[in-house]
Amino acid sequence: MKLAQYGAAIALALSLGACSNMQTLYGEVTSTSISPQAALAAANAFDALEVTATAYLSLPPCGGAIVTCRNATAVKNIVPAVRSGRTARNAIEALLQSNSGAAIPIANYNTLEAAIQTLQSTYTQFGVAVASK
Amino acid sequence: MEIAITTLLTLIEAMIPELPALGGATAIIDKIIASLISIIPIIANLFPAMLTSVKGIISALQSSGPATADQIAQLQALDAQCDQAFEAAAAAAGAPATTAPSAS
Repeated sequence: MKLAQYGAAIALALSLGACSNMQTLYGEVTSTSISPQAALAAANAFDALEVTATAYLSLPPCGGAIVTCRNATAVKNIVPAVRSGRTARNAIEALLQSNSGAAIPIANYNTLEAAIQTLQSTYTQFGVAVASK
Repeated sequence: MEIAITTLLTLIEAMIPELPALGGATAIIDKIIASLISIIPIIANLFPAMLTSVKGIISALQSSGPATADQIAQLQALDAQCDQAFEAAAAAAGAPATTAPSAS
């Protein structure tokens, strides 16, 4: 029992340490804004996912003997996620250019993150490999 | 053709970090942009996975010191072509159309 409690305490301490490191890396995150570094990282992550989506949509439709193919359900998830993510990414990139160094509104970031999560979970579900540089 | 394009992209990627130290960097960026204008349609149609490298090059050039305002505008237009490549693929896959993506 005590061992389990120690284990839980260590796990909590490690997770708090990770949070601290994340804040050092990305800067302060508030309820209304996020650091430009974090926003840029999300925008770059989205770019890779969008390229993967383009390649996936270029595959032939599944059916018959085709092994590497695009699934209709995946397409239904991917297309709206890329479109909403692209709008948010463009807004973030415009803000990054116009107010250099200023914080980015959290709403744009949240929209982009939601799109990223949808794409990542869809890729995981359908076994899509994400393009890398 | 795939190998030739991959080699070209690799060379461009290797050159970008050296641009600030090079004389005539603006002219070199012009040539890189001209190359990208030529190959992006081919990449979008035949090798869409390579768009990742293209987007990386565009991003690196935009943030590189020597790029002029005109060149950054050209790079933003090229970036938008990557978005248009997605829309073309989506249309070909039967997804409902939307308004054309704008330059970021």
